[in-house]
Amino acid sequence: MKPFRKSISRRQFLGEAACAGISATPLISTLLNLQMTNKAAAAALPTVSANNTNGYKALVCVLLAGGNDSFNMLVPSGNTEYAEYQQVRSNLALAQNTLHALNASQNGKNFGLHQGMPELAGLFNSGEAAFVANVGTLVEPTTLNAYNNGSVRLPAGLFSHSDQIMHWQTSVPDSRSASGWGGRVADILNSVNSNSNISMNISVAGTNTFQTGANAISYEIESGGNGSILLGEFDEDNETLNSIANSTVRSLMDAQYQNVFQQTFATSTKNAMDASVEFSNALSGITLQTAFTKSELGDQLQMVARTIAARNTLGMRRQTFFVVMGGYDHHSELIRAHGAMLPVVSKALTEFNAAMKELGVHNDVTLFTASDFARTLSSNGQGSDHGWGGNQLVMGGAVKGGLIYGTYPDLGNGNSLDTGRGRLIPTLSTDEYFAELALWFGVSESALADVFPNLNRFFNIATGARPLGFMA
Amino acid sequence: MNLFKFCLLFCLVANTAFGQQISKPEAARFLMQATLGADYELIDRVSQIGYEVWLEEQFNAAPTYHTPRVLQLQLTDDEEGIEFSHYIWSWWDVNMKAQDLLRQRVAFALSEILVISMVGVDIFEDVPHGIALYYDILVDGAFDNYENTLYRVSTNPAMGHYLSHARNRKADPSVNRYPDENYAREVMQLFTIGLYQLSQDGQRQKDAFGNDVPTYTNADIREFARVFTGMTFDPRPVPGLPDFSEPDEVNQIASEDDFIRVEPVFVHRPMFHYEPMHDSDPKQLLSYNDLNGNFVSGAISGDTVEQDVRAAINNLFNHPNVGPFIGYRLIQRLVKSNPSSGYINRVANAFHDNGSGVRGDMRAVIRAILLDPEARGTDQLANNTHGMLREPYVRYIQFARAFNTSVSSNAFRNESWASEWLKQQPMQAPSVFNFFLPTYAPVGPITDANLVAPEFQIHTSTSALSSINFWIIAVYGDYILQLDDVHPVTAQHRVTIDFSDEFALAGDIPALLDRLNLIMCAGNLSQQSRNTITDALNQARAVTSDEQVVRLAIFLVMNTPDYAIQR
Repeated sequence: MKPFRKSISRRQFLGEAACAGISATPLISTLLNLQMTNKAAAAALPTVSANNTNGYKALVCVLLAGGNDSFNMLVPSGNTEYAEYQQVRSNLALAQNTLHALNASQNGKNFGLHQGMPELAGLFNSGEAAFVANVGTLVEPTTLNAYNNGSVRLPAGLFSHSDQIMHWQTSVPDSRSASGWGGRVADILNSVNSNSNISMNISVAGTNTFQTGANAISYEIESGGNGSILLGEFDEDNETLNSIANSTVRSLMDAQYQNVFQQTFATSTKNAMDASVEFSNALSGITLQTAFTKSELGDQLQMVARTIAARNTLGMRRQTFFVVMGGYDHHSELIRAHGAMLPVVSKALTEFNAAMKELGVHNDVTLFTASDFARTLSSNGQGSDHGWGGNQLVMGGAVKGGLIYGTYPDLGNGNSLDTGRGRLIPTLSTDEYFAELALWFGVSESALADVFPNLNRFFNIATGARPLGFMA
Repeated sequence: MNLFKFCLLFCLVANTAFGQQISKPEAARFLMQATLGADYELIDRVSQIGYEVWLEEQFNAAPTYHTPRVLQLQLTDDEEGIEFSHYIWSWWDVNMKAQDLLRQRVAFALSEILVISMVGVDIFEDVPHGIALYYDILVDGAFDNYENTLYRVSTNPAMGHYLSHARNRKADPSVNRYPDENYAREVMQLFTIGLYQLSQDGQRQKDAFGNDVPTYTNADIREFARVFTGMTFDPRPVPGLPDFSEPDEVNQIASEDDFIRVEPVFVHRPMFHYEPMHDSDPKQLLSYNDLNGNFVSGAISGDTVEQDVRAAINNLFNHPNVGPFIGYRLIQRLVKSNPSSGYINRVANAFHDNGSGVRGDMRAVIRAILLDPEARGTDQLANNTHGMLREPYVRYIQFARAFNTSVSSNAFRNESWASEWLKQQPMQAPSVFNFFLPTYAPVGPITDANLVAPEFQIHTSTSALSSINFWIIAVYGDYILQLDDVHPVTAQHRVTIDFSDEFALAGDIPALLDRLNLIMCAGNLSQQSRNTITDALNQARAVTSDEQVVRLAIFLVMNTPDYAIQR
């Protein structure tokens, strides 16, 4: 076969746009220019130091979209448990001697990390990261018997991407219309921030459910340039004409419309205009010493790190970030494709961890992963199909790392969690996983039930204990 | 109301009642839903011949296929590594010139329901004719029977690669291997019946406890997964199409090893049926009562690939959900985000019976969608929950076709990276779930009213502004190409937009806005927006040329919510 010709890579849109009419240079009205000048001056002041992090906290959600085959990420490695893994995964099994040993054992089992994740294995072993085992969407505690005889309520659209990815963001899997838990947190905590133009929920991956509350919305940024997009110049040679064009667009978006679609279009565009110059100015000039390996995930996390560096300029004391790496739906090419993606995760997360240390916020920023589901343990010949419970990672200075929280399940055919083909019933609910994070973030115990309405089905917060105990 | 306006209104109503002449704004509104772009001449013509005559013309117009165009680009433009752009350009060129406007509009809608995507699938960027061959199934499918389209889609190699049922083998429990469930799941969830039992009006049926009733279980998926075994890529060359075969690679399917090793570049023939890898045992498909009152048991004895796949497609196709499920999605793509249950019901009825007892006739479905009172009735203009956000790429092509464009090569090219600005480009959805979900609802009045607005999912804080910047370039015509910095514009590829009809009106702003209102907003530019724009144009006249005033007028109209929201 002819070698495939290398396709051109996508051009970075921000910062490289050079032709007339799309200049990234701001302009707009005199008023906005004045604001820009002031903000530019503010941004030039030192915003990063090791001792001004009091009161700042951020949660970074990394969604591994498509359903990460996380039983090929965190792998049982002792001879007995590996033999069981190898038998059930057949042609999808990773070789025992390729795994990076983790200094954690549980129920007599040892564990290793995929060979493409040496950096994360190092972070785990140095106590800066932890795993949460076999966590997933649950309406109520679920046994195999109850699953089989239909006596338990199950998540709506179990095993379907669109539903499970939504439930992971809402943590209310018995509903198909719930808001996101990050949005509900922001509904409670947004008032601690002083910025009225820019949401405490920032997404580098577009609109999402996680950050959408009753009132809270996300502010979406790009991973290039200074994050926001600035209104361009209508005619680069005629400043007056530019001013007319831009102020008229502004007027059109300021107007009131009876039609709900028109009003939504106008409001969202106006909000974007209000925020873009301020955001861009806050980030301009901020660079990190920590180098990020080039990747879509790395670019997104680098932008998150730069935004965190600008937290004082932006008036932020609590922030959530939403980051997505897609492509985990490995029905085919699991070994090769998954094996090429996990190293990207390992590098990007480790570099982000280093950047948080550089910014002096290592104890204030917690990153956690989410994914639609893990995958069938049995092979379909080329890959694996949609599963249920899976393994997730938490990282940061406030994480009590080096441990696997929850119970890593037995994997053998016909085990007590297997609903068929190795689709395992989760033994931890997303409620328990996320409540731990929300408590650390500043949600009070009394408000927790508002954020996670199903939590009490799994855990009694009144005991004073923490759901999983992985946060300091 | 003065006498003149009264007469005008009366005449319009009278003409519509006779089903012949319609007003130009009504024609423009119809064409905004039914095409990927109409200019003044077409609007004028449809206003004279009426909807029905135009629909008949369109149903009889010869289809424009995309594959010949992409092959021509592949043969004549041998620059390394631009196969990706070849697909973008072939789509654009076809849609800039096509006269089978309705067919192309529906094909694009179908491409957002029966989704495959070049995103994340490296090999598709190398075989753009494979994408085009798939798209041409949808070009046919626009007016074909939906069952036939489903069969062609299900056996197409690009789909087989995208949803991984190509190279899918029957189970081998001795190595704990079972058939791939991917296509089995999505063909039900996304292409035919959806997750929940629907009434014909699109409402979800409820069980005794008020819960939604699932249409299938995971056990059903495992049965359908067994159906979609035994198909793989067919390496035999086709005259006139690129030949990727190599002497030392798999060039025929004669063994299990060939079956799983053959490369996915072979996208030019429907998938090869290799019976030894097909599960030919009996299978239990879905059982249900069909709309004719017959019980469908769903039990099949199991046979060849072709017989099993046809049986499975037929089993899904006859499920009562398909009409309301697909009808709702097509209404959302063409007319509005929140059709009433009555509207869905009328379209579902047309899906079930085209008037001659045939189920799945897309012409009947399209006619029902476009001629429904909810699509045509001007009373909807006063309904504050009527409408949809026009898709950004639809705005792009509809703008380009609204004016008179030309290119000396007679082969239109465009910005290959429009998706970076617009978050949308044909055949580049992020996943099989398309660019946006049918259920997406932005926070605010839309959510508060229990409505959805799918396209707002890609109207982000950044795309809200980058799309405005994109329209600036659009009104300067020349730059539509110049943006593509990998392929600098040469004279032969330079596109010019002829605004001369508009330039002639530069001195008469009310007349200019009347014209732009008609061809861009179908007459829905509000007086409020019109006043705002008029003020701006009057200011601009003092500082710039007539031509710039016209460009500014077009740009500002494109940025009105009146234009962005199709009503």
